[in-house]
Amino acid sequence: MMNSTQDTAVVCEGLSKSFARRRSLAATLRHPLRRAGQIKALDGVDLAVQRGEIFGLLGPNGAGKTTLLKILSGLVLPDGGQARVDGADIARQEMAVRRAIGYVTSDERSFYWRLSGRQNLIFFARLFHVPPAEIPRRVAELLQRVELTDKASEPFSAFSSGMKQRLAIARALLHAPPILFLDEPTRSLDPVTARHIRDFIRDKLSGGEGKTILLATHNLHEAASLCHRMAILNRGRVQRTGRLDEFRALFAAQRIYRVELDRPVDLDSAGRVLSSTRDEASGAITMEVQLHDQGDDSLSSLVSSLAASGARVREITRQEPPLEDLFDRLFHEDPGEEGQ
Amino acid sequence: MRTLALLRAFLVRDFLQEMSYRTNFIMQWVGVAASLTVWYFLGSFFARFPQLAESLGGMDYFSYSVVGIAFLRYLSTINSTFARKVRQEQVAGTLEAMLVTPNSTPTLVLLSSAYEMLSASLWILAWLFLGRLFGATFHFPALLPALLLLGLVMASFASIGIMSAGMVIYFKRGDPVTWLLASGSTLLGGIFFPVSILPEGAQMLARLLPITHAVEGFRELIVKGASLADIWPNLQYLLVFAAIFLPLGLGVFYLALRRARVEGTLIQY
Repeated sequence: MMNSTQDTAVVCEGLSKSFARRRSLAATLRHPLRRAGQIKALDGVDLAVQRGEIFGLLGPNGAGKTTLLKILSGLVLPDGGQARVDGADIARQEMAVRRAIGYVTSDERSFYWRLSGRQNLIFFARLFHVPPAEIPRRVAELLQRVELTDKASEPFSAFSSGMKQRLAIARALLHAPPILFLDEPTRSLDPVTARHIRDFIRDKLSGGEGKTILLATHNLHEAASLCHRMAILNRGRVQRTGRLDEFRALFAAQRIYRVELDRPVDLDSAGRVLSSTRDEASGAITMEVQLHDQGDDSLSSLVSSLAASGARVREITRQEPPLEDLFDRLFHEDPGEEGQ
Repeated sequence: MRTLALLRAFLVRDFLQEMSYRTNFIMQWVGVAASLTVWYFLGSFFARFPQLAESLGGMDYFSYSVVGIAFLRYLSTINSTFARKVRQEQVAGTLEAMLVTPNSTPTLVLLSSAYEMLSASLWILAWLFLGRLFGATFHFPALLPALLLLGLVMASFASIGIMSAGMVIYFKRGDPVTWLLASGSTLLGGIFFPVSILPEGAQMLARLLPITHAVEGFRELIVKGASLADIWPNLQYLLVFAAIFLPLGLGVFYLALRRARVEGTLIQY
């Protein structure tokens, strides 16, 4: 029995999925009876997404993010485990699940190119069983919300990538679902358009309407700026689940300071020198020092070492590890050791 | 009501898309008249050989071929439309967007094909009407047998079409069923010449094809003004064919659909 409560929008327990490895024609001819190898796309995924939160599925390519969304949408059947979306079992209550979700992919081709934006939305509104009398009002309202009213009569083929993505979001909202699955919604968008889409997701969909959003992305900054919580996926396994500040705290032990001096000094007793660069014009030396331990004494030790060296300290700042480094650690840590 | 609303959605979508290719739309209908002209002159030529009418069951060749071609077109449309629509949606990238709507996949596939089937039906009516204007000997058929025959023809043809759509869902390409049936039906189905002139083995094969019975039945109804009793054997055969192949076609379709969802290849092409 799954631990599904009223506050939980999506819950997965032990979801597993393997795909057959594609064999070459030569391999098939050489060993026609040999079974194709398997690729584990999901390996016992447990997740619980609370109502109203933006939950990130974060991982490198091939981590299993899209497979998980496709399983939760009913497009792919899992090999094992179970999941509920808005309280509906994905295996037994497919239609209830589809009524509860809006699915946005990064695929630009998911519309009819010769129809206008409005005609496309009207078609999908009928497929989502929006009452016929409500369709014109609903479509007009959504076009306005995604700021496409002026372009709605143009054929979809004339839309820019950003407009196509906004139309995809409008389509996902046609039947007013409480949950949205967004699969890399800003991939292939320019930075400005991507920021508009992110603002829309955060301010209007999540903040304004309280939608539950499951966002698959490998864009670390996008995840950091949007998600309340996130799951780190790698090779089909959930490495960790939590908030970004919790992840940062995990690696707080790695206290790194950036020290700018007028000449090089020996700081090995205070910490490990990660890098040391010299500015040719000013002659200033910039060192990155990772302190040996977490205690307050270690910073004092660094300051003492600097004072003892006689060098002039121009600047000393605490360095947050870059997101890339943080997630690199998270992607590659052993979940067996760290747990969730 | 919901199904009707969905049907409307697909009909409007396909009509709008077809209208966006205006030249193609116009050429289709010009093609009807052009093609009929060819068959008219061919029929006029064959009319010089009175003994030919005897082997055609007392019909003139023009009337005979006009009915045959009409149903060959119907067969090829119904057989191929389901698979073609699935493939089009896969390639266009719209299949995934449709499959996450709260509708069953068979409903979506069947309704996706509604416009083409309606269009083929209108094409046949126009073809027969123009054929009549060109001089074909047609009677207005008795309504009940005509509707019964039409219903069974659609069920028989669709059974193969649904099976074929299942193959496209699973194998993506290479649909041997439609190809074999279309080629076999053109050659053996009594479209352009009577089945009786074929070698005995081929005649037996011809009797197994649903189009042979469909064309035969409609020729009896339209050209000879036959009654329900006259076409009863054709109806019986089509009923048996549909009773066997419709569940089989749906079974293959569901099996393919399930395998594609298990293997994660449903939207691949």
